[in-house]
Amino acid sequence: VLVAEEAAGVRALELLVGGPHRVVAVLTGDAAWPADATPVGAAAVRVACPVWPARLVRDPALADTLRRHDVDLLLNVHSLFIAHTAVVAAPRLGSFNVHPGPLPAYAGLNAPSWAIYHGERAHAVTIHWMDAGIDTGPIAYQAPLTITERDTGYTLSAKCTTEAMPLLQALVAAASGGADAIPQRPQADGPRRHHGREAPQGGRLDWTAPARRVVNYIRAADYSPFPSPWGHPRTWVDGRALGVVSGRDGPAGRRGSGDGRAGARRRGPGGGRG
Amino acid sequence: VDRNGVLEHKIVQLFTTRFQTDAADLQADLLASGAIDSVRLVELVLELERRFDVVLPFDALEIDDFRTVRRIAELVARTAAGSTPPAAPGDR
Repeated sequence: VLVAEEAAGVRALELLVGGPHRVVAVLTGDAAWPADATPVGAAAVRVACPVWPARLVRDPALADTLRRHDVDLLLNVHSLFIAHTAVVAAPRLGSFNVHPGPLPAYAGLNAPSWAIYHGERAHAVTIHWMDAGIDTGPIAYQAPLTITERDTGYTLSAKCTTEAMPLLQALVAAASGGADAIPQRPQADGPRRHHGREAPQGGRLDWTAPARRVVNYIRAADYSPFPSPWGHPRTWVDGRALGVVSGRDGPAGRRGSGDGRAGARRRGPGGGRG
Repeated sequence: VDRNGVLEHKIVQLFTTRFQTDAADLQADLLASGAIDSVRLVELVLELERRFDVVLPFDALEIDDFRTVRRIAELVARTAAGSTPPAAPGDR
């Protein structure tokens, strides 16, 4: 079964139905119902896959359903519903989560944005075994990614999805050989960051911070041309709140920031670019 | 065939070879059909930059510029002509 949302979920579904495997059901959407109200639901309807509401993963009764259908794998791709431990344990071979970040360093939500915010140059996409925790299970597959100066939260998220698909393909291929054929490597002992929905700094820019940090926050929050999960970082001009949509740092010695210059373009309350 | 016609033809080819997607209908809504989603948009922009030697900053893009092959061709032509993207923030 595939538990999925967003474009990443559509990609995963296309990959699965294009192979020799049978997709028992796609769990997607919740508030947005009927089944084809989400991109993943619509894609599932197009290929005649049964669509179930994603919230069912919270219900331990789903475990019996999965066993009754002889489900081998549960694949979670960008769904935010936390599956019940009985559901996680039900598939014959295991349950797996596609996570757009390295673990344990970037667990939780919006990992690509947090990595850019922290000024990282290297990132990764991970497929891990699901267990009772959130993003805590052993790693099955991981692919490294380079974060470029040009990357935004959006572009890095999309790159994670692109890089995740070969990993997903490797997983389902290995699963044909049984659970023992799927890699299982404990997460490293390094520091673990777990982030929720909240944006950093209360959603506000700190112009006294180093210029690089100011710009990193702006591009981490930048999902143009799509809406940002963090919203645009805010600043105040003449008592008016403005959302900053893009920025770059420049040589030191100019106004605007702690150790350099951070120029910015802004978005006003009406959404227009300034 | 005018310049945009050539661009449109090349973009249709790009969709065929890179994305295995038939985009021969220049006015077809690529967003509504799912031919372009948020993941493919990044791949498409990088591919357009590589093939047409233009720079398309994401923060200057509008999603409607990618709705049809015709609009994509117009975006590439505009950018190549220097009318977009807008100046970088520090240059303002």
